[in-house]
Amino acid sequence: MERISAKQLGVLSFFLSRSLFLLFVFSYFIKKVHQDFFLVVFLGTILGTLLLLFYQYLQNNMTKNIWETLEESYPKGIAYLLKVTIFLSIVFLSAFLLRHIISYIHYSIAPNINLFILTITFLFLCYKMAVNGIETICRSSEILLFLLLFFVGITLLGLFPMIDVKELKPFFLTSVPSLLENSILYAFFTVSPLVFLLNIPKPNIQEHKKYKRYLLRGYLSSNLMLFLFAFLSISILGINLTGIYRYPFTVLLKKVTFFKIIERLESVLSIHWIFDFVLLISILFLWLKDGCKNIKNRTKQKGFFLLSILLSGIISLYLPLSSSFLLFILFYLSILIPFILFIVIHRKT
Amino acid sequence: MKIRYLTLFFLISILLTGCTTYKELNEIGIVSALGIERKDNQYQLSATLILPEKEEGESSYRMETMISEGASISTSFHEISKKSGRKIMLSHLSFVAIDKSIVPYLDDVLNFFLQEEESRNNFPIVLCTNLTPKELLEQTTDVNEIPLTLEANQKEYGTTFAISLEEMIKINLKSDTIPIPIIKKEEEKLVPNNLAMIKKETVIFLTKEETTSYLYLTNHLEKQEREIIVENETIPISILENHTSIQAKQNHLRIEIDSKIEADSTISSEKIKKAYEENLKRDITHLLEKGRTEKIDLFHLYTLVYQNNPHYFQKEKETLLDTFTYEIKITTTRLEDSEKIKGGDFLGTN
Repeated sequence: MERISAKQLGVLSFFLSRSLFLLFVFSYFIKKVHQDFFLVVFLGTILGTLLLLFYQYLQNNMTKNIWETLEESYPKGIAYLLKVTIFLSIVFLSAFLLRHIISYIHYSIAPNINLFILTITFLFLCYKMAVNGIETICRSSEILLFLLLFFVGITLLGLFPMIDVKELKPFFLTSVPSLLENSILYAFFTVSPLVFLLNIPKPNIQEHKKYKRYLLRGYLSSNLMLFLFAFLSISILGINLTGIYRYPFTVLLKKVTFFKIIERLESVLSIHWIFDFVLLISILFLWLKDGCKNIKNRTKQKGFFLLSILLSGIISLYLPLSSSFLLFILFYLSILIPFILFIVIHRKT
Repeated sequence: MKIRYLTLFFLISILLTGCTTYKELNEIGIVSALGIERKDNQYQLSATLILPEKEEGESSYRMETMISEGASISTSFHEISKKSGRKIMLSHLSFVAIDKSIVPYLDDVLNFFLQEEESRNNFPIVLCTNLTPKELLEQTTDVNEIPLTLEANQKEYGTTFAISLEEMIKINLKSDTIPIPIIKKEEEKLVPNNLAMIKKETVIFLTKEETTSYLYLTNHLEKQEREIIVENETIPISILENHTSIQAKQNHLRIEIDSKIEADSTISSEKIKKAYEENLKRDITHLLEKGRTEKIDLFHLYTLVYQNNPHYFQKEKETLLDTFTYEIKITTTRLEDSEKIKGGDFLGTN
């Protein structure tokens, strides 16, 4: 049984919490609440912390992974149906995330490389990490954290002279109900990717008592990072340009310059946003791997796992990039999966 | 089983090399300057291309100006690509020149660059007055000359404003008046000449003094040489540093200008400072009043009021340009002689 430390999970939670913001969630909030996004971050973090504590409470009751828990809690037929539902949801969710991150890589780093080749590369990387297990994913997240801090440090130094605080005004233009609604959404968007850490049963976590502390630290640091990038983006690009650009964080990085000598660093500096997705999709594949073990018999599980990953890759190539998919991600990530988990664990306890 | 995985790995490795999209140097054309105008309901594009070439293992390049026409800017680019037989790259664009014919279609130009993923949008955009963008490109021997001259003129003389395309888009999203530097041909030379303001389909030209006042108001003036009259004597002064801040309280603006000047004269500092302040106040008042009479947002009044009081702005937007009031406070510091001769001892001149 793979055992991972609470600290490693804390680092992983840092990456997962902010993962959805790069692609469309940030632009979604900026268009809705404008400069009041800072208030949304503040309120959303408080609500998100409560939600996170609730999910963590659920995890405390788990001694086996979600698939085994389902099997133990329900009659065979219902358990099978639930397992297949969750499995297919994750395949689709992986495809959806893959589609968006590949489109981002194609836009910001590799515009001349074919989408198919990029998808295969990304799939292979995440597949390899999932095969190696949670321990590899956690260790990778620790290494990636150092790289991230280095890149963010360079970004801050390069962008600092361009900050114009006047662009942050005006505040308090959003109505209180809208502010609350968006804060709740923010909480779901930041906490939902962490639901996938619930697959790790309590006995697999070393220093379990410190787990909650590290998880919260990771979550809060992630929100701080989002706040920082929102601040940079709005104060440098202005609220209108931030709302117009598809990836404002990358456009922002195009401006990083040191004495007009060192420039064009955006391809390197934007890599840290991809780390989130490597880790998130690897975790999703890990769920699929465990699901395959449980759904299929031992001899066929490897082929079945590879097939499900290839399926998500193929689906991703044909998915359109549309904002209506936001509803899907909201549904799958934030409501359906945590809801099923809640029912399952509640019944078990 | 292992052999199967290894085969798969090698197959993927071959695919990952990027060979599928590999482009030889002589297959790309780098656009270094671009001219856009409108003729007979068509966009006319003139592009100065850097065309890298490979001859007997050695790399070199040649410059060529190509012209194309199309119903949209993208189709005109495709035309250039077809003519040159190369893939067009926009990531190293030095400047874009437009003329008056493109003003009604400026949004199309801005949208094109906004959607163009390769473009960096930090290059300046200029308006040609007594020559066409095509002529400008043909006369430009060094494509970096225009952006460098613009920057030098803004920083050293305060006679123009090197506005980048992104800055222009930013202003366009907030206000209906966009500043743009003018390029003129004077005695066979290309010179930046003041600013123009684009409002919808009209162009309002600013004089030299108005351009300088605009730079003062928007806090873009860094250095300038000015002449002031003190006791019937014309004295040249140098503005070494300047900082402007504007506070808006409903429709009232409080403009604070803090200048550091140097004047080579025996007249007392007080008199020089007073004359400079009066001179500057007169110029700025003129620009503010021009904005009022011509009903154009010459100095980002809408943005200022909106940022400070958005509710008031929504209510009074229509009448704001008529009703705004202002006060100008100028603080001047004259560089003392003792500060000027710093380093004099070291050079042995003092």
